[in-house]
Amino acid sequence: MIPFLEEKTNFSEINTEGTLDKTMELVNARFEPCVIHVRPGAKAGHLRKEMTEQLCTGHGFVNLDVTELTREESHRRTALGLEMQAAQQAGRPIPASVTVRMLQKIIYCGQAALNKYILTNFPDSIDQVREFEANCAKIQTVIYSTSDDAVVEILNNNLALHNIDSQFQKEFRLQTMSTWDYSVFQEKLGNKVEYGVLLGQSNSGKTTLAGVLKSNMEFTVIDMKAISDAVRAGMANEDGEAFEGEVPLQSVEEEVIKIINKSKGGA
Amino acid sequence: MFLLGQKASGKSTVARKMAARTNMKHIDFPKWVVDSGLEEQGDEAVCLQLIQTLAEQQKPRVVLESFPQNEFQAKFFLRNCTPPSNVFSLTCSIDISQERMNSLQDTDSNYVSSIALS
Repeated sequence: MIPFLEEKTNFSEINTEGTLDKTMELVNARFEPCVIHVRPGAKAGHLRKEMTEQLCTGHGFVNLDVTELTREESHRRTALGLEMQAAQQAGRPIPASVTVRMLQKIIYCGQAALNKYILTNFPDSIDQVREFEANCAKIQTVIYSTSDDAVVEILNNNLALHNIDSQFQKEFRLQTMSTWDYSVFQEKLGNKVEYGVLLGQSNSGKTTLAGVLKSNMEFTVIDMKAISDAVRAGMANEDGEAFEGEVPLQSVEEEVIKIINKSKGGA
Repeated sequence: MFLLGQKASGKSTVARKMAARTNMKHIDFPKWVVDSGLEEQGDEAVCLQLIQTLAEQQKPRVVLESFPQNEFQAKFFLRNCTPPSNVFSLTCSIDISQERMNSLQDTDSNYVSSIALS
């Protein structure tokens, strides 16, 4: 039965010899959506807005503005909305567990296409982060929009102990961005470039296979011969005579690095 | 979602936690078969009844623990119902399985003696 399921389904084998937390981490990593939190830094509030808009309009992210969602939930007088209203009327903040239950229903709504979310206005405290990560999903990265210096200074004082920036920084999950760039964003999420090398004798089908990989799997194809020819053409003398010597490998490498840097975050 | 695995590999614990975390319904297949009075039925009748039960769910996202139990059930389900989004097979060594089993009382319904486990 296992070989049949391996062939026909999205099958994963999970080793459960470790702790339960470790097992759950392995299981959750297989199907949890990508959740990020974008925080506005000093003088860079507009950048957060730009990042959110770009991610939502061009890259399939859904912005979960928790303030807005809470208001709607209360307005609709759902069971959760009534709990929120009761807390507000009693002059207490809305418990993180209630907010997380609301987010859980949205994030795990069952639509497979919706698997990338931006949390806005939540979480604000370490307790809220813990509640969210224990009962809903792991926050992959906190993107901190900064001004040009791209530095977040976290002071070593009591206040920092309760600050989510310091918490994420300790776990290497706090990333800064000073300008919007999707490829840099992908890199910040930890999405590395996938490489493959196609080798073979003449007429073995390298170019055809590369073309198939490009059209079907959206790989970027780097044709070393084409780059070498382009570099050679750029080395022609003033009279337009083609360069006939060996193309310096360093020049070819520089061109390859440029292409890779452009496609970071992809494949 | 299907959750499979040997005895004491952690299926029930993982299924419960997963269902609570991701707003899913948890169905323990062997228990469901007993509760539905289907112990005497063949694989096809059981699968048909399961598909019917899934179709009636208000929560359409379900963690099915210990299902399928054989290749016929797997093939029949995939032919007649939406394929699972994920299938997890939990594994652990016999030693770990034995250790976990030892922590259960022999009156526990999940208890399997070491000879049977081996």
